[in-house]
Amino acid sequence: MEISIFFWPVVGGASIGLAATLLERGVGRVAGVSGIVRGLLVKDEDSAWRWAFIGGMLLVALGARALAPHTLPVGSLPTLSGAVVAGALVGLGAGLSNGCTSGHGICGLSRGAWRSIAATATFMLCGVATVYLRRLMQQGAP
Amino acid sequence: MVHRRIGLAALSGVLFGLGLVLSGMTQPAKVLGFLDLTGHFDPSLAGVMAGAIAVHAVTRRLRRPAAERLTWEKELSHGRVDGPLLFGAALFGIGWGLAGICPGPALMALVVGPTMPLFLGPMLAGLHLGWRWRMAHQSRTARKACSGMNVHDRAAILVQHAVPTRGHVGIGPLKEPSGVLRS
Repeated sequence: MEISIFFWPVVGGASIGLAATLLERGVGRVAGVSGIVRGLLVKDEDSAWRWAFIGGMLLVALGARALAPHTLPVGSLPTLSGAVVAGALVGLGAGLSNGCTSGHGICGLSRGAWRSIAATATFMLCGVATVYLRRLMQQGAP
Repeated sequence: MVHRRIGLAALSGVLFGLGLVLSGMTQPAKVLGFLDLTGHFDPSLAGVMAGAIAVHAVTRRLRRPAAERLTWEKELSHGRVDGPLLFGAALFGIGWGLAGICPGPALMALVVGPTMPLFLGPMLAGLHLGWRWRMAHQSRTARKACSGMNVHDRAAILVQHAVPTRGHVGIGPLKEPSGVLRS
């Protein structure tokens, strides 16, 4: 295996880790995207920092669209119903477990939080199982 | 002071978004390859988690009084591993495995066109619903635990179970659900 395949993921990960520290120490909040977005869905006077964070992300997204459009998921969702079902599951799951890939998988694991370790192990396992079953079903089809 | 906080949040968002794009987390094909252990497994995205945790775990400790960090950790890790946590994480994993998109990349994909709202809309609705479900579960658990107690024990149990304010149980406002991530 080529070790260089890990270069950009590690660089990107480092940037995410730095972002999480900045938010924890500078703003006093956890850098979990689902939690940041959820806070905007209810009345919360402390929402300016949430908009600022999302604004920063969207700014980068605009830059990526201009410079390297292949890095953004254009038309990658196979079907309409597939997108709706997957989106609903991702949202419902993140709301119920109070965190997603970033809040549990990065911030929680970095703190060594048991809840986040349990959540991350669970969603990884279920993600792997889903991809496996889906491929099995596709191979089974004529 | 307020402006500084907003500026830092924006900078954090930029670094976060940059990290997602550079690492490949915004490319569903890569994510699905990472989850495809028994097929065309692409292990590269393991580097994202490794890099992020290594940097975050170290920098959050640097030149910071331990007491301050521990207070923060205690406040966040109040709750326990419960049903909604595991059930929610399972649903999340299934959705993630179907589309290869988690909430951060879903937001960023807003700028690339009209397909993403199909994912993002249900995601936002689900997020709100899931959170309310969790809150309802927590206050049910707490009420069960403190039936027939005097008011002081009751208050202690309610804090322990992190019951949200809004007076479900009528002991006056608790500041914020403390068993949950403050994000």
